[in-house]
Amino acid sequence: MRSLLIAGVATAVLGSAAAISTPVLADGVIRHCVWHGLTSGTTQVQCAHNVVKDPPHWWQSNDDNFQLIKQNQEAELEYNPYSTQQLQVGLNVVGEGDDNAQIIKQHQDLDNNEYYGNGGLQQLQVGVNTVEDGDDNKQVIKQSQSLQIGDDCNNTCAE
Amino acid sequence: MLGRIFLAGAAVLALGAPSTLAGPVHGPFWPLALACFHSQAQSTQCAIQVVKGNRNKARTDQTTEQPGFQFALTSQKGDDNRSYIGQDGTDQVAKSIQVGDGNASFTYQQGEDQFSKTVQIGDGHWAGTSSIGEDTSTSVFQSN
Repeated sequence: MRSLLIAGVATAVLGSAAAISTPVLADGVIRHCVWHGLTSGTTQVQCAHNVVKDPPHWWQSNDDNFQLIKQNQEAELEYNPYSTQQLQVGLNVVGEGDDNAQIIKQHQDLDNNEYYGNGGLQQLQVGVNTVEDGDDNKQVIKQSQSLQIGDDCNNTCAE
Repeated sequence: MLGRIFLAGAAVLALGAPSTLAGPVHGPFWPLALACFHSQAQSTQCAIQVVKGNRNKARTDQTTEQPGFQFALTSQKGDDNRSYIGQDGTDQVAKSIQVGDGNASFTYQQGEDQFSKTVQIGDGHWAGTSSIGEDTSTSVFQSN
């Protein structure tokens, strides 16, 4: 997770410095999310983004877009010390446009029977909706998490 | 956890000032990084909504069930925008920034350490805030 966050900070700094557009930044964050998912001994990672650049691609339109991300994760674990345990990132980005709808709904449910110190990430959801310039847009983010953890094993669960 | 809230709050206060709304890139990603930086997870929810323009509506609801930390920032630049931030329980930070005229914002947080701040710059604002339970602190700043 920390690598993702460091990457996020780096991306933000670079983005501010070079005035990179938010769609490009969104691409960067999602790439890091996916990379983290592939390299962290993962238990459940979801990364999603909808992007309309400014100017949009030829098949896209600035206006009246409906960007919907629904992410749901549920897991029941006995013991899983060091890997990521649930991570969700959702980004909706419109560069410029009117009457767009951006919706992110995320839910995570984790039942971790044996919690092992500070080993793995346990649940994180990030949702970002952004319209750089436009009128009459609607942005909705709904997030819900539920976490049940057992006793802290204090590094003895595996034994 | 409370320290983390204040840290995040301070960071957001420092960086969430209207100046960050000025540029074409009013970057959604620095708050993303800031809000989640101290996460180390065990439940964390961040939600950020940014828009520049008129008559936009933003709504955020977050619910968490132990342990916690939720963060929500809505930033709107333009006129007649509306924003709502929900959040239900544990350590919560919320922030709403609106620059322009005729904007309205409502924030609600329910339980535990909580903190919220509304900043509105322009004419004809409306702001509502409601907090229930434990160490809460809300502040509304309105200016022409």
